[in-house]
Amino acid sequence: MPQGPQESADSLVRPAGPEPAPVTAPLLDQEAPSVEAVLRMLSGDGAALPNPQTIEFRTRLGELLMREGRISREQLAEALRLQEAWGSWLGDVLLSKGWIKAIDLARALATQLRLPFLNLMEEPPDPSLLRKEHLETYATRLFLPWRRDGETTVVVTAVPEPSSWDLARRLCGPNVRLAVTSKFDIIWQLQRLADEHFADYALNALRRFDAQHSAATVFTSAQLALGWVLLLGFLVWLALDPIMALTAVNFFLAVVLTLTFGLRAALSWVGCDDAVDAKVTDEEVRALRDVDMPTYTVLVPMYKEPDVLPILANALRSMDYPLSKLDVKLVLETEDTVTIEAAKKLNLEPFFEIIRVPYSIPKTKPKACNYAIQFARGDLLTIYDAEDKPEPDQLKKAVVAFQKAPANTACIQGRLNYFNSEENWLTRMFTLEYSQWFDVYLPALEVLGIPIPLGGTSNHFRTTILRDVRAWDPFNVTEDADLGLRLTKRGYRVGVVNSTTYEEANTSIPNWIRQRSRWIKGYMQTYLVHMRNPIRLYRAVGGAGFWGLQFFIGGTFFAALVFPILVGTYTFWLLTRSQILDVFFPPLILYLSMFSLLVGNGTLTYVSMLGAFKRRLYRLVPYALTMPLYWGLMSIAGYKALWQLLHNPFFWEKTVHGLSKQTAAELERAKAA
Amino acid sequence: MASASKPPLNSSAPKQLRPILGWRSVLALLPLAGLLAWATIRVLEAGFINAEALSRWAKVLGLAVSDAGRFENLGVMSPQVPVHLLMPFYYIPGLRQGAAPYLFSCLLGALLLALWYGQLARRAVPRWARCVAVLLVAAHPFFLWLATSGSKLIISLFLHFALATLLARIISGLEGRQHILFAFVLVMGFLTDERFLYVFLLLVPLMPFVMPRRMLLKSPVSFYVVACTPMLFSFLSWAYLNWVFYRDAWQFLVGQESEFGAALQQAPFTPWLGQYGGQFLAPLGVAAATLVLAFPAILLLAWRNRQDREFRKILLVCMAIGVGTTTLGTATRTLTHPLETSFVAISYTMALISLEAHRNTHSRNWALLATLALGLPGGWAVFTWIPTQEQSQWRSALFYRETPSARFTSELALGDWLRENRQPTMIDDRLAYPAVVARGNAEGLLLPYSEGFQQTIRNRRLSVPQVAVPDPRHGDGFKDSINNALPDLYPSGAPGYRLVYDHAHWRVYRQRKQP
Repeated sequence: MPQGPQESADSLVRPAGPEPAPVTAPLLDQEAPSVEAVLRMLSGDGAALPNPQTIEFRTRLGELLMREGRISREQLAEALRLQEAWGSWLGDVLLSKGWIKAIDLARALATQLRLPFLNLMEEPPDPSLLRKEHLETYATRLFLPWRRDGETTVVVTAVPEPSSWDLARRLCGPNVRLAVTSKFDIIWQLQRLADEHFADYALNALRRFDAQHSAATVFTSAQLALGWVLLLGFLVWLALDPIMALTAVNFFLAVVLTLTFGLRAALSWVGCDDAVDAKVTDEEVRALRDVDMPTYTVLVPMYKEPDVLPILANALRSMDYPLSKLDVKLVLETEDTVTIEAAKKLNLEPFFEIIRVPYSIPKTKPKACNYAIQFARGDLLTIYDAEDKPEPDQLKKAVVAFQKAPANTACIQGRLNYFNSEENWLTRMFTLEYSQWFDVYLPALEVLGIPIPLGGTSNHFRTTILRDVRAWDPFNVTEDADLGLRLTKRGYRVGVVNSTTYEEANTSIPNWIRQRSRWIKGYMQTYLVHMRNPIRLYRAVGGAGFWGLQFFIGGTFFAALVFPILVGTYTFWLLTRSQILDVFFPPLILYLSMFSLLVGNGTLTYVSMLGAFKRRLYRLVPYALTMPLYWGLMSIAGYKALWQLLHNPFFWEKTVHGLSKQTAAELERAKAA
Repeated sequence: MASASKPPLNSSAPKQLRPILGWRSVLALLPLAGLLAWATIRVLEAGFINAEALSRWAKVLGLAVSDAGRFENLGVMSPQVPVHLLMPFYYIPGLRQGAAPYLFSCLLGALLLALWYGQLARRAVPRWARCVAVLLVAAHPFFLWLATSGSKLIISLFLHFALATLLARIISGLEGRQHILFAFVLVMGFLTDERFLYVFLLLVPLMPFVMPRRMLLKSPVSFYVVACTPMLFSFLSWAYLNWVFYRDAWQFLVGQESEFGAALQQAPFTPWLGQYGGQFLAPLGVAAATLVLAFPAILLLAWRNRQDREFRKILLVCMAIGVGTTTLGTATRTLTHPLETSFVAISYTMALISLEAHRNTHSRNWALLATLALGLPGGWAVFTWIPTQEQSQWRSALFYRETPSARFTSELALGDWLRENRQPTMIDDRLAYPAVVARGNAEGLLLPYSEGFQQTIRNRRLSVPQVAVPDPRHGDGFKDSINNALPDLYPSGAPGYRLVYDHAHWRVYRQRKQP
């Protein structure tokens, strides 16, 4: 049985100083009050609740906490200063610094407002009062209907302010009374009482809302029929005229590969122009006022990676962003007790919340994120992996990028790169690839109006739009790439921003293959989903977008699959100088094939240098000459992906993190900090 | 602050791609093209013929009609770029009999000047100054020769201008596309003229001068890799293709059709090589002197910008290339005339003038224009010193509207005849290219890359409807591959064939069963 929020709340909050003396609040019963006692205590009109932003309110709250020994004078002074700068509620500031526990804050608020404090673990809410259609509101606004007595509904909230009162009356009727509790109690109770609903949403929302774009169906009937027709047709052709049939295949391969590399060459040309970067300058970031910053939800989905969490936790604490406006969700699977316990042991500040995702199939990161988004309170939302190290000003850069972008911009993609780029050959190649992808290709895609497949993390969303499109596809193992396309198809825009998140590059080839096979499988899924209705796709994204999808998404896995065939054929010819293949290479196809072999491979090798060059990772540039070996690895991953697509399409092949020597060093630094 | 409300759909971010040609350049293009076209027509009317242009056009005619030719002859032996750039002209009516290379040179020359004019305009050079500058360059004999003689070196001129401009951008720290363009220019240069290898070899030790400092300190190798890999790859690919099709990887360098090979063959007959071939210091001195004589503006630019470190570096690199390529080519006997490499001084002078204007270091345009004007007589002096036969012919045609001696008369006559008698004809275009051009197209011709031609040579037995051969005792007739395979053909014919054409030193034999 997992521990309740009381204990977990205690362990999630890290007090800054020595343990304070026990509280003896004169107006607060030591025992949890009975319902009758609560109702007797409730009085007055909720509209008379003081505004927690007023100086008077926060001063009284601060003094109360100081008198109770919860915080020191210095902490109060600092919190008041931050409260002015951040424009947040004093309680949130104190929580964000970890100077007070959520439960103690709730008690103090109850005292100050002369409202009852409720311990929901001991006095849980009446489940029959919860409305399915309001569950997300409860989660994001942190209140719950608790009990009903006649016409009066007692609503328990973690944010006792006039807006909560108004909302409560709107949702629960005119006769409501407020009580106060810790936010963790609310989150815990919601998950306990409405887990099925949240889980169902996470799994099925997209499928119900837009079945056409759900990867739950791998191949549609039409696709299967078309595939069989093509296969049978080809087999018949092969039987009747094998030379012509194979020559046609050869021609097709040559054309597709030529167009694929041609697109990448064009993207490289466009992307290498410094002018196309969505530049957010340091001056623009400095001009932002913390008081104007929106609440930012940060989702951190993890699974069995307890060791690397301190890295991200430290990175988030170091962010140049008002901590009181961070809404960090550690999204963990319920059965992943190891990571849950590790998170608790870190004594993280209360702005870190653990969201436990109940077990269901498929067990994927997008499903977990879909679960967590229902608890997101931010106007903006982003995702980070546990080992991520975003640049400290990334959130503010995203805010500026949204401000400067057209109004229909739904997502801003940050750049990804690696902090262990020079650890071994594989990390160098991975860094070359990522630099090319995020520093060159993505800005070029944006300029050319080709849908951007999002990266795995550091995607910054407008939360309302994300909810509107039902967030991620839980059945797609590259849910990020799919989401980028879905947003574009619905008329939204995806941009990129010049801020980098550093991750751990895979140092182990088997681990890399696991990861890459999942990505390629996801690209296959994404391609199949979005090509279910090619005409509709074309109309939605235009010619550039349509063909860009074919050769950027489709070309990626296509090239991985055909590369070994072509290399094998060529090697056979080179070693034997046999003429048996000549018949399949009439002049035009021979020309195209030679062109693809020489110019195509040469171009792709060359462009793989450009990202690192642009990013000034000069020492990596010469390694680009070994890119063909890297392509060989991609082909292995490609075939594994194809196999899994057919036999286990939703299986999320977990990448092991923490293998890098630098990660260990990063971990030590994070722990020391 | 991010709005929580739903935004309107379907708006898009403005694109940020820039136009290539400014309006000023476009306006300048027409009169310049007209001027150069007038000069070109003048020389052509006087009977001037450029052998290289003719040969190139003959290749185009062959490529246009043959898949096999299109593949194998896509520069497996000779550089691809000059031929490919001419291909679109094949489809313009009225150009099939050889005017296209001249039109191309003229247009490209005008385009280069127009671009330079636009560049000077963007750098706030007064209109009168840039007009005079452009006209002075246009009137320079080096430029005039390249732009009106149908020479493919006009492409190299363009590329060298781009090269110097890019060096200036790279040295100033601009990154990204400048490096890609730089690499691209090197490749295009090599695929235009194999002798661009000399430029590359000279640039390699000079690159640290132009590398951005942070790159030089962190990883100079990366600059070399980004800048040089495409060139090296092109070189190796070309060698590979030669190995695949000819079992000799270096055929494209030493074969007769290559610039190196052709120059080596002509070395005994070339006055320049006769005097300086195989030497190093003498051609170095001569190259430097001719450069200064033909382009004294360089001295003024060097003097005026002596305090500008970056300018000095660019100037040093440009002059090293200008002088070095001539020296290397002469030392290796692969250069028939210094003009074939020193023409780059035009491009570099233009680029340096733009660079100076960009840095706003000097406003005394009259001094610069005066030195440009001074380069005209100097240029003519260099041009007329040890000229090749073609250069002499061109000069005579331009000034006196006549050429001392008509060239390729027999081949042209053969071509006229073949145009009237369009049976499928086997012919070796290595010598007969003027005939191919005079014929107007290559349809029905069995040229060396065709299966019929190769089969005949392999089997040493004629089976084609018609065959044309030169007299093996006349000129280069002995090099004709048909003569080599069938040595008795010219003097005695072949069984089953009758003589249908015998003029100057060309004969055509036709199968008796043909009409």
